[in-house]
Amino acid sequence: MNFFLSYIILAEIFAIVALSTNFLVGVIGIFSVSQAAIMGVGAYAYAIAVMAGIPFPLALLLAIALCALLNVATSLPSLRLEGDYFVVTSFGLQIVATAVFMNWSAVTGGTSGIAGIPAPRFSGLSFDEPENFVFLSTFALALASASYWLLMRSSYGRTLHAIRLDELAAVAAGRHVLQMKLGISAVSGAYAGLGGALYAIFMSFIDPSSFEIHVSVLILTMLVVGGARTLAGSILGPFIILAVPQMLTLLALPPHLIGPLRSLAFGVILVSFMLWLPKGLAGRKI
Amino acid sequence: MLFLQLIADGLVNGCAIGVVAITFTYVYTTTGVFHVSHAGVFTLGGYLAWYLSKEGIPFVLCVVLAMLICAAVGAAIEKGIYEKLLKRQATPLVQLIASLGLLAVLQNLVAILFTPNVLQFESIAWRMNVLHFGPIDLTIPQVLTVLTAFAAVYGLIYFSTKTNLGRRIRAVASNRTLAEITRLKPFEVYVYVMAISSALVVLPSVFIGLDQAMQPYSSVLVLLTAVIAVISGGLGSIRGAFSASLVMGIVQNAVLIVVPGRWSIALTFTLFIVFILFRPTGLFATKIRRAS
Amino acid sequence: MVHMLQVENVTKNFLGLRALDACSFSLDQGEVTCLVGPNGAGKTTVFDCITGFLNPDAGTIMLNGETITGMNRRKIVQKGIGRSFQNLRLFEELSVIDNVIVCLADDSGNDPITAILRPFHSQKILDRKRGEALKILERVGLEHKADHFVTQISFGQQKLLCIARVLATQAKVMLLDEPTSGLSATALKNMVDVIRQLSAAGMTLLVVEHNTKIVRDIADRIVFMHQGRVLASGVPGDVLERRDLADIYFGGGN
Repeated sequence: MNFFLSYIILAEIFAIVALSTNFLVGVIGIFSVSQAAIMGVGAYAYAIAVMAGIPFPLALLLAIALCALLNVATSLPSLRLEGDYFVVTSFGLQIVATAVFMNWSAVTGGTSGIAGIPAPRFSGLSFDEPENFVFLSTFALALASASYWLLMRSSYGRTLHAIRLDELAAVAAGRHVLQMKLGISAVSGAYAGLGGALYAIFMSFIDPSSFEIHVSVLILTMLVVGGARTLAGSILGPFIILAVPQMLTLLALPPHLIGPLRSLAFGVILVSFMLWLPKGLAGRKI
Repeated sequence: MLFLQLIADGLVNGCAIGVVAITFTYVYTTTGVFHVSHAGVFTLGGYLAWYLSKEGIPFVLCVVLAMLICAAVGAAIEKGIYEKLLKRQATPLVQLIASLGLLAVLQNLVAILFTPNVLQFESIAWRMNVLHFGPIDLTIPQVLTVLTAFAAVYGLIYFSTKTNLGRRIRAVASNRTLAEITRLKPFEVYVYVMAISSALVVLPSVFIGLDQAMQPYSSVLVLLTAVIAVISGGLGSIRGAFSASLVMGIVQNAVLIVVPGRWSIALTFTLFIVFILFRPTGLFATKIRRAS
Repeated sequence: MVHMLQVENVTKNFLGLRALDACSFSLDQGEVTCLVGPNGAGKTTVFDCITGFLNPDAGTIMLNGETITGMNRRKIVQKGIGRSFQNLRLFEELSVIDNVIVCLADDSGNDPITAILRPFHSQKILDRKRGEALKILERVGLEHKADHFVTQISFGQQKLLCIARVLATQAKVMLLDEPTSGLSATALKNMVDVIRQLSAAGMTLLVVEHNTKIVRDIADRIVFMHQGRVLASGVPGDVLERRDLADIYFGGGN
């Protein structure tokens, strides 16, 4: 029972991060490989805050705000420019974040990470147990989904679609394109921060390996399989992809090969979907 | 003197970065694809040479064979994946995601077929021999890194300016939309470009691998550094990209006096951000996109 | 007299070519000025310079006496200059009315905070914008296609939608790049009617047009360009009678 609940919880957490990536990749149409990095910043920020005594709601808000700000700050230089600058920034951010997580030991605990992250308690109810935590994760996903839906049907959302479809025409119509891209960048960061914080609480232990580039590739795979630019795709993708490792364990494989094999599978999935099913299972054309 | 040694080591690294930079740029400016999986080919090449040398094949032959195999891999990537995407007018985003997937495939294939752990060229005895150049010591692999890098750069320049195919490639690169209308057959050209770039990038991989060690997942860092070097240099020519990489290599090493090696990438990335804030001209600003 | 739009001695070089060479002309309020000349004359470059997509190397551009040369593209739109494109550039996955809504000068609701934290207010804004967009579609006769997708309407209707998008920006000066090209006889008549109505309502229009008959029909003034230079400007009667210009235009000559 616990095992199944863990699967649900993780899928929900990754759905929130998939939505974060969806804003950039699906809605605006820019490449992102730094989702794990931002998720990591959210996780570490939450862990450090809560273990310094800051209460749960405040620590959560702090993590979310920090990630939103970080995304905006790192996107600003490259979004101002045309061309593939953003790709380089995204890779750079992911790699630098991992380096920081590993080497800033005083703050992040270095390669040992941070253990013993406490779960919040509300009126005697502890979210330590998966049976209780699943309510928290489901509620968070529901909130994230509702916000996504509201965002996309608003005037802002329609304009974001227009920016993806023909940025030049959007500029010619007088839209403040850079500002709008930064806005969605902030929202994307906030979502990833939320996912990271929830991850930190659920796992109660985080280390740099949880937020390396292959995790960004994993999240991208979830988005691609589920389908970009839809709510359904971002939720479906994680549930499908997280089931894959379970299937792999059915095969008798030497343990040191499981990681690379999984990543290999995701690579194959990414290439295949781009060649034959770019819409994913429940998404739109990217 | 420690400082001179650092500069020399930096020059060696710069040469390695330089070959990665010019080969990546060659593909990018001709095909328009941001060929991230170039880092995967880099990794594959090094490991192929390692494997062949372990089997007792003479070293030079190992390198040549690895280059040939990678040329074939590069050509296959172009024909099997990029060409299909480009012909379908797939967005750059789709191309990038496919390339990223390919990178994951190549890196993890290497990890599975060989090992995910750090590897050294144990079968090559001379890899640790040191040559003395006055106050500077360089290992044989380091010297070879420099020599093969310059050979690659000047080889590519000669090829681009003096041979028919090289000139044809440049013609395609300078105007991709026009190339389709005239008889330049750009897609054929792309295959050559990918093959050449994939073969050449094996050189730095092998010699850095010989000198230090190999790991399946470290090549993205090398590629990123190379691309940042080219952007910061703001130059569009082969010579320019290589020069910028040399400078990058030297600066990265010189800075080691004050900054520990593990923060190197953070510094490089900060440099990148500073450059695009204040001097974003260069490679990417002059990129020619397919007409929509 | 202060002209609505004044282009003075504008020069623009690209890649060693002189795309515009000391071009001067002016637009007066409420008039339709046709920009004519063979392909490659620099007409689209003029549009790009006026709208801030290109920076002239020399010369000035003034809107109602205010210098706008080198001004930020967005500010120029806010000041009241709007343009359409030769290749339409419609937002293909959006509906007709959404194409207009996205171009409305009203920027309210275009931020994530309003959308997420004030959903009812956000909805009100959207409803209001929809109303405004419908009124604009009525002006070009497309209100009955409001919820159709761009791909579902005819080419002629798509071109009218381009006009609607410029109207949405509350432009006072409209730069139209070949609004009639490729249109059937009926669609052409529709378009000409719309252009006339706009002019009658006080809009200042600069229209790139190749069809001499249409030029005679709608133009209050003509500006003739060739190889980056303004060769003639004046009333249609004068400009269109000139033999030398006709030779250039139909001879496609150098």
